[in-house]
Amino acid sequence: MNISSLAYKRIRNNLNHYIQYLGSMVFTVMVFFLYLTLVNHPQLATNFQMASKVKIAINASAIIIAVFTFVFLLFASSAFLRSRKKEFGILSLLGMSKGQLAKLVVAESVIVGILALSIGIGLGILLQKLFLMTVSAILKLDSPLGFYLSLQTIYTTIFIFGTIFFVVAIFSLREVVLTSVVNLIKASKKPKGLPKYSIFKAAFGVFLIVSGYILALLPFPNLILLLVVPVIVITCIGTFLVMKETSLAILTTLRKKPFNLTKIDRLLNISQLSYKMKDNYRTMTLVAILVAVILTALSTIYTVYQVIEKRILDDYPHHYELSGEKPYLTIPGFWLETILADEGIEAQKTEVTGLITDIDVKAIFTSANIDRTRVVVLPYSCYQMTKDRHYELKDNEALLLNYYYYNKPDLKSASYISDTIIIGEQEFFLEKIFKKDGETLLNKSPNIYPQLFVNDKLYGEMKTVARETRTYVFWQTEKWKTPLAANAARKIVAKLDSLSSKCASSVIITTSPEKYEESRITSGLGLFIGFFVTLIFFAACCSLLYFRLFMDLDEDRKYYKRLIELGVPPNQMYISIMKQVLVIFMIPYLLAILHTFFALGALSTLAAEQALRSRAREIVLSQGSVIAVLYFLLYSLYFFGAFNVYWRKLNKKQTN
Amino acid sequence: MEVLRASGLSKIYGGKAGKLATQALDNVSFKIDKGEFIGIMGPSGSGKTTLLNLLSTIDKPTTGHVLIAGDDIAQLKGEKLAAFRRRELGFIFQDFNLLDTLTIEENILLPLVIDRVPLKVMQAKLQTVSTGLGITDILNKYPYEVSGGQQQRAAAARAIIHDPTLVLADEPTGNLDSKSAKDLMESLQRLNNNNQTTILMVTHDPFAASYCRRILFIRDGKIYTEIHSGDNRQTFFQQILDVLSMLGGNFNDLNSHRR
Repeated sequence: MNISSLAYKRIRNNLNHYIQYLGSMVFTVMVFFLYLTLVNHPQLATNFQMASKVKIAINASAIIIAVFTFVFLLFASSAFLRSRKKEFGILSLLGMSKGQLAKLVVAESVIVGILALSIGIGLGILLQKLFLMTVSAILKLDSPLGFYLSLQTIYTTIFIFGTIFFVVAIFSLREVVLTSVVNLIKASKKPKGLPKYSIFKAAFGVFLIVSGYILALLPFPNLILLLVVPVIVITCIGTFLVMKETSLAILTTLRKKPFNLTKIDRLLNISQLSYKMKDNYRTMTLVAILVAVILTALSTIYTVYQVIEKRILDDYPHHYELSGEKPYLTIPGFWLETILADEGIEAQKTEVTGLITDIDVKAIFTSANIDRTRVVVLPYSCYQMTKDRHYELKDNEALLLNYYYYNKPDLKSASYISDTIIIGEQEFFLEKIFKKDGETLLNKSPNIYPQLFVNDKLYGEMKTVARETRTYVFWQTEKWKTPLAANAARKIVAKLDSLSSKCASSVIITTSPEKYEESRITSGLGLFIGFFVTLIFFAACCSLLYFRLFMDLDEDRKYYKRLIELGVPPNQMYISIMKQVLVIFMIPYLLAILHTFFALGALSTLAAEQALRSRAREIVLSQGSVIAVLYFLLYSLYFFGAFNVYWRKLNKKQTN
Repeated sequence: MEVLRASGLSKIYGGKAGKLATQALDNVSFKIDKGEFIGIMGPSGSGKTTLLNLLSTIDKPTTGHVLIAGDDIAQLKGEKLAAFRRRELGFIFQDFNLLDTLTIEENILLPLVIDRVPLKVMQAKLQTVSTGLGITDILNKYPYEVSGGQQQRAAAARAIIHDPTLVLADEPTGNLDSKSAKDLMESLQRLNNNNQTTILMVTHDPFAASYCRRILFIRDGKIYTEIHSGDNRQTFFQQILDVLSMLGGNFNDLNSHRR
């Protein structure tokens, strides 16, 4: 029997030891393979000209995945090796040379690596169709993505992961070969020191996290942008200190007599956890931060995806809109209707004349150098039709939609004002002008005016005396989210571009279907990529804890056996150990949820300022909660799975 | 008063699915009265450990019965078995079996905490037991901070703090130097004399055994002979050595791997 066949036999006979390690490797290989398949898919590359930003994001994610996988596997392999140090110790005691030991480790790595690569890629190919169908469904593509297998993808996966496995093997080799025989054998028997903590550091950790939270909730968007990095650093350090020091401070306080002597599982759990925290605080910190990042990132992407429709409709309430002086609109209008008919889209046409006038500038800005600014007067029925409102304006009332293309209006201006406007030569006194900031009825374009709505009777009077007008024609269709509508939009825009310059400059066309389609595909892809990357991170988090759990299995088994012999009922032991593991698993997750909540708070402040305007906070937080709960379920499932395996292994040697 | 009665105990390992069957114990019967300090000796493979495992409810006999304080321990299961272990039995192990994460005091109190004894009672008992065993100074230390002898005395304290019917000691001196072994045995003897604690000790060590009042020798799964101590420990020690040499077998493997 030579060394490599020994390695093979060890793996075959101890498959259950390797299964989790192998499993996490297979999983990362598979996910990476699927990821590459998606981003290199020819249909995605040609059908939609992917924005360069998306491509950058895709490549960056691939690098992040690779780097992270590397770090994770490094950790996993060192944990795995450490749990087997004694075995290596015995082998070298039996006279195995360092060279042979190294050969053994390398042979093992090669076997496991080849297994992981072939199973991972095999599973990837098997699941590919299902995966691509899901992507197609989410992106609502016309023709689902077909089966696609390129050697390039397989080579890239093999190359990247082969390199990662190789480097990881070198690192683990170092660990085994550089440790002396005595340390290898005694690895599991080192006496544990009494856990110590410093009150100052414990308090400082809490202080850092709390101040991070407070800073995140400041209502000043610009400040938040400046503080992003410092707040993240503060919170990370705080998390570390809380896991390392504060946890021990709490446990030590709980350990005071006689409280700890009142219940057996209290006595056991508190003392045992003090030690477990000491062993696990690094992993727990890492998991807390990673989970927080995962939840925040995913919530953000998911929110963006969820609000695409709202965002488009906020800026472009009309699906197709032409505006300009009336005589110039006839021909483009005819073209548009022809194109719509060609694509089989039924659209309802509305035409409205806007009356241009001036209004007191205070209605829009609190401070400005000029007295009056231009607005367009429109009938209120038009507003009601699109926005579906039932309020009736009185004769002396008006509604002002405060919307600008470039500047954002000062949102702190008064809620309503009185003003007299002049149309033609006639004055109209409006006692109450209500305001809605950041809303528009007309599609966003460089020529957009704030819109003043008066009731239809008053509008009729005004229209008869008006001199300066601008006509708006718009078409609304049920099918605006379909690719057909987007095609029509692209065609009419192209056709208008070919018009003579005089006509083109006075007619403005704005359409929403193609904007919707672009956003949906871009953020759909973003969502998918984000989901993928976070899934890998998440799986890694779970595995990290799993390895930590099993690293101490032998010691825990001894501990468990002793207590059973002392007469602790087995079911009480089960509950007690479950509680301990639960704390190790759940504390990081709960802290991460808290982190996420505040991070989303900061994000919603930014969002309120940017694209989402109204209800930003509720939207962001509700999407965040959905994600957090979903992942929590996933995580709990994993916890129970892991714990049951752990409990079974704990009991196994017990009966022997 | 009778504390333990073992009748017709046999234990056969293996024998299923074509495996070779081994008879570890063969029709062993004996009884222990209250206040006895009894030793069990025998060469390696004689069945000592098997016997102790049967008495301590960790293993079940193939045939025969063990009655402790009138209960047939083979009938006990789950919660009842656990309750029986923590109330009627006290254990002292070769490797002390103290929990590293608890202080000596918490370790000693463990059986009482499991049984939810009131705090005042706990403190009173702790006081008595730790004074008796001379470990009052180290109560707030952790097991790895004190010597092996102190750890074993702490284990002894844990074994007797709940006034068990029977204390089972498995090679208690196996991991101790001769001075610590002497201290421990003297402590156990004191407990036996002063408190009428019933102790059953399995040992390889003739010196430790010489503190017992009665010794059962077993060989090949059967009771070989039984001797009683007189007034002089030296004489008894010599008597033990004589029986052992008659018994034959290998007695040098004091630290043999048994558990």
